[in-house]
Amino acid sequence: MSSKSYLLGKFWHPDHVMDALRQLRDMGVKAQDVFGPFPIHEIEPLLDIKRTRLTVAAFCYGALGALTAITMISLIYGAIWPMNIGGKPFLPFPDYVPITFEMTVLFAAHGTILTFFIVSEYYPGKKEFLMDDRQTDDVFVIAIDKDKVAASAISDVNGVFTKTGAFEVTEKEV
Amino acid sequence: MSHHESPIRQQWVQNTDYYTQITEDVCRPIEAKPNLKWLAAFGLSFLVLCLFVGAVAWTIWEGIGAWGLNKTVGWAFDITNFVFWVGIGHAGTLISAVLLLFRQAWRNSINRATEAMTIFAVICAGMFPIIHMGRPWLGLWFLPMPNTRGSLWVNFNSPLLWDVFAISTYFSVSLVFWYLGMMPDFGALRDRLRKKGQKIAAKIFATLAFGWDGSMRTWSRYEIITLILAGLATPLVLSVHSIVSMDFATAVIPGWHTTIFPPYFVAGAIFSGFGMVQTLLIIQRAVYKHENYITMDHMESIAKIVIATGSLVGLAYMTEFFIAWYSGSIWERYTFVNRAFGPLGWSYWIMFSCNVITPQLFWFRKIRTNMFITFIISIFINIGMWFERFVIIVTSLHRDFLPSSWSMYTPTWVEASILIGSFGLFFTFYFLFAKYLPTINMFEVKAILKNPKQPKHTMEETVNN
Amino acid sequence: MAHESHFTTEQLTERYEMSRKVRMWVLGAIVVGLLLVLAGLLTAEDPGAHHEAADHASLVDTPAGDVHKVQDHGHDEHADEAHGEHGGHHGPQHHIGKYTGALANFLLVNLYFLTLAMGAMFFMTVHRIGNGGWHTVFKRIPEAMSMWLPFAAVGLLIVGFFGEHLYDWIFVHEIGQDTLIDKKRAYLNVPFWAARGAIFVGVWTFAAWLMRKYSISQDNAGSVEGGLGIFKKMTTLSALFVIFFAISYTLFSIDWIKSLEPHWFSTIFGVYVFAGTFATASAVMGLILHFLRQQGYMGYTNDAHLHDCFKYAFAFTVFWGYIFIAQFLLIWYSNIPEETGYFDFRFAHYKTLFFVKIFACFFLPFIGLMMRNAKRKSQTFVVIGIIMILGHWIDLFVMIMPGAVGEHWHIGLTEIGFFVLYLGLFAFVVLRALSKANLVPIHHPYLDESLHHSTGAV
Repeated sequence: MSSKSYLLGKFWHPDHVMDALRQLRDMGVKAQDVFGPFPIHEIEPLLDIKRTRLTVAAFCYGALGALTAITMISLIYGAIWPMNIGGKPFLPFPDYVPITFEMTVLFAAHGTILTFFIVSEYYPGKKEFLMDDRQTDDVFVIAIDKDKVAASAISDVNGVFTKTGAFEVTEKEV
Repeated sequence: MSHHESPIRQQWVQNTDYYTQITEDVCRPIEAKPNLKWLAAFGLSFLVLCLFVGAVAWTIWEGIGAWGLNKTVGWAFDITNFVFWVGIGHAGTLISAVLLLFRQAWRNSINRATEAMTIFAVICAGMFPIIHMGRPWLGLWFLPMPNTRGSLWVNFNSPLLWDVFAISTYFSVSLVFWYLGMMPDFGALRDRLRKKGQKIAAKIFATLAFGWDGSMRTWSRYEIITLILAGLATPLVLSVHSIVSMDFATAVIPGWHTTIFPPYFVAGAIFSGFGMVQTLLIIQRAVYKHENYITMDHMESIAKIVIATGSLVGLAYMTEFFIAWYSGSIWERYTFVNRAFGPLGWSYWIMFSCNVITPQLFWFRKIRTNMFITFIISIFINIGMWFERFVIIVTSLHRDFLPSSWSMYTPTWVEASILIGSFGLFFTFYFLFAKYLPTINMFEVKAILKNPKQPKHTMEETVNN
Repeated sequence: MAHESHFTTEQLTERYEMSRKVRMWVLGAIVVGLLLVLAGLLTAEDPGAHHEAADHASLVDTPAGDVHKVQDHGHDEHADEAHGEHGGHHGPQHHIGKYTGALANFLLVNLYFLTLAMGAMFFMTVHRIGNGGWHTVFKRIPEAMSMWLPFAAVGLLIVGFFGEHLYDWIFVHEIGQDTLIDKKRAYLNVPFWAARGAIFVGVWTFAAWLMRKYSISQDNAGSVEGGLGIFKKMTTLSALFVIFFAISYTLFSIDWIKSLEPHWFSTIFGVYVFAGTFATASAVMGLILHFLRQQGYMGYTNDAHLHDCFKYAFAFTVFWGYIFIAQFLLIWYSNIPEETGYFDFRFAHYKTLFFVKIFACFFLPFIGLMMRNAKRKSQTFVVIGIIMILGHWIDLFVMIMPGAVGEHWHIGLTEIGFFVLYLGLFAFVVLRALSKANLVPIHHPYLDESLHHSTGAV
């Protein structure tokens, strides 16, 4: 990966981050990302983050799980290995409910988590992307791709950082 | 972080001004060397675990005949322990999932420990069906897969098989939910330990953190997936104990077959789980000095849930008794009279007084805020909920339809050792967790910290442009 | 203390006024309902002409009014013994006359709207003790819904006087006629039943009145701080109410619904009735909120409030499904004659309705309300809300009718008429209650939170 240069503004309060992002937006500058120890609410529109479609994925996995369960039980119980238990019918639909439900949840939960890891590109041993080694503790970092900011605007961006309460304004190559 | 929050709401984080203070308080035990107190506690639980292993080995060597079962009482301690431990395993998911959906901010600082408790309790529970098989190496026969035994399939009509699906789904989903919740904290630990020069530990946490960097793009997705999992875990937690209750309720045995069992078992499970949460958190907050995060208000909220669920359980006991009378069926009526006044009546009254009467003490604020009394009450709740399952299982069985086959049940030392030993298993896991993993969800507590102050390290630095 | 909100004082102190058009609709529903009921009563046929005769053992669906096969069963001891041992799957023992169906329907609508009022009561009390704040802006809606309770009390009182035409255990009053009922006489006897009914509905009505009184007096407290004392009182009252509710609602559902088939028993029954109650009440609350917004009121509420109302409707739809399957599966699985009679009879005579109810109470709302937008867009939640309202009616219908009229049910003028009539009355009571007080509890400590409510990421 070719190295990229980022303008960084480091903040200690999430409200300051929101102020900075709003002012940057008004200037027409888009932040690449913000890093922080916990999620900031309603930051999504300021970073152009689209609503994730993980819910749709969860629904599909769940439906797949339900279908798998019903197919499995019907095949095994209705065709391969019919057993007379207490005179119940060979396809006892009420009995399907517990297992179908469990399989729905099983598929939906694990499927969604796997999808989450894949879309977020998280896997064991991945090299983390740290702008500052305090960003998992108590520091919020706004990162702006330097190439996307006109050279003349860089000082304005840094000005916004300082004005909104950044305690450190710097650049970093990653 | 809402600026419109009502001023009369409690502050769930107290005496804390800096985000980093939270990181510091939670990480301190992990970074420190194991101290003597911890070693003693861990050693003791490990010894008890050895008792468990020994008693189980003896059972497998000798056969189930080593237990006090007979042909009338074919189920006793093993299934009681199973249901007891599954029940304990319900509070964690309730706190992490249901209270999340209800936006109860006080869950944030206790969800980690209670989820851990859930997982260890479910592990303990899962042991018992396997032990009771007598030949645990045939446990794989539980799975519906093609095989060379004449293609012998599992019985999908059996609630015991539903249990297999329910418990394994519950365990695996709780585990990933727990793990997902820890990833940001693993990231924090990685960065901290690296700065402190603890290279090996940092490496381990770096691997566990999956490259967590706290990007808001990930956080946004992360919050959604947490809510999706909470939405899935909520019906799941209801279903698990419902299915466990169906082990009994689908039968025709009076005292077992009653339609209220599913919700009643769920209420009982949450009740017993919260009892155990009280027991553990009272110790944890005292030992780790986490009183700022697990505040008195937290303990009071837990106590209130204990009153609510304890009363629901009481309502279910009374409904069962009333409907047994109302049914007019002589079998139903006899079973319940025998339950309360028969030879095992003492166990019924232990159950009733521990589960219904004791928690009512929490109506008094003085008792809710007295940790010593709360601790004692929580122990009573644990005892009571174990006896609840014992009452349901053994008293319904020991006097069945034919008086000629009535019998009594006395546990042997093997069963008693397995029961005691299972606490060893639980606490061994729990002490390992308490020492080596973050016991409080750091990022969620940071998110509800009001009015943080500017950290000192950010004041020293200047703008170096 | 001033609220730091961008809503003006005029907006927050608005009152609801029934517009002429709404008045016409409400009045229209009452009149049309009344006419339909009258027409239904005038054209009612007497199924009882062949009731004693109908051979229940043959379990054949007989269209009402179709007289065939006369064979006197009477009440000989043998038949009663059979009743005693095998539960209620032979249909009711009492005489089913020309107006029994109408009476049963009257019971049905009264119970139906009582459940809505009770669901609203439960909603606000449980939010109070759970420190839920998001609903504060529209808290007056559940309060207004609970004002229906005294009217339900009147309806039930009227039904009570005709109890022997519906309830077998009142009809079969001689000892020795029915051994199973005899065993329950200590509980199922008219004085005790009437006393319980009076106490339960009386206490609920009183609690609803007191809750509303407190809430309105908070408006006059002058400030949030001034209203905190009242707020504490509401907390205590809510805690007491919830405890009483848990016990009384269980017994109430046994007294008024389950005892229609006095041989049958199921411990989960109260929970089942509660599940339907709360799911439907949440949906109705959401619909009323939507209606008020359509009328130009409550501009300070947002989609998040509707979203959360329908989240409750969704969640408790699932809960209903859970309780339904718990009861059905366990009875079906164990196959004990004392219990299966209940479902046998429904499968024999109410099969279509039984399955329609599962769809309307569970599958359709479950699928319909699952997605986020479905709970925010009126195109979906209005449709699903109406399905839930009808589903709850069918649910109660299938619970009540088999014990009241046996297989002689039909859905015609009387049934529709009663529902429309009561819908009009209920709407009138609720809207009038809304117009009597400020639409927003202005000095509620959680108001500011509620005004800025957002459902967050989801």
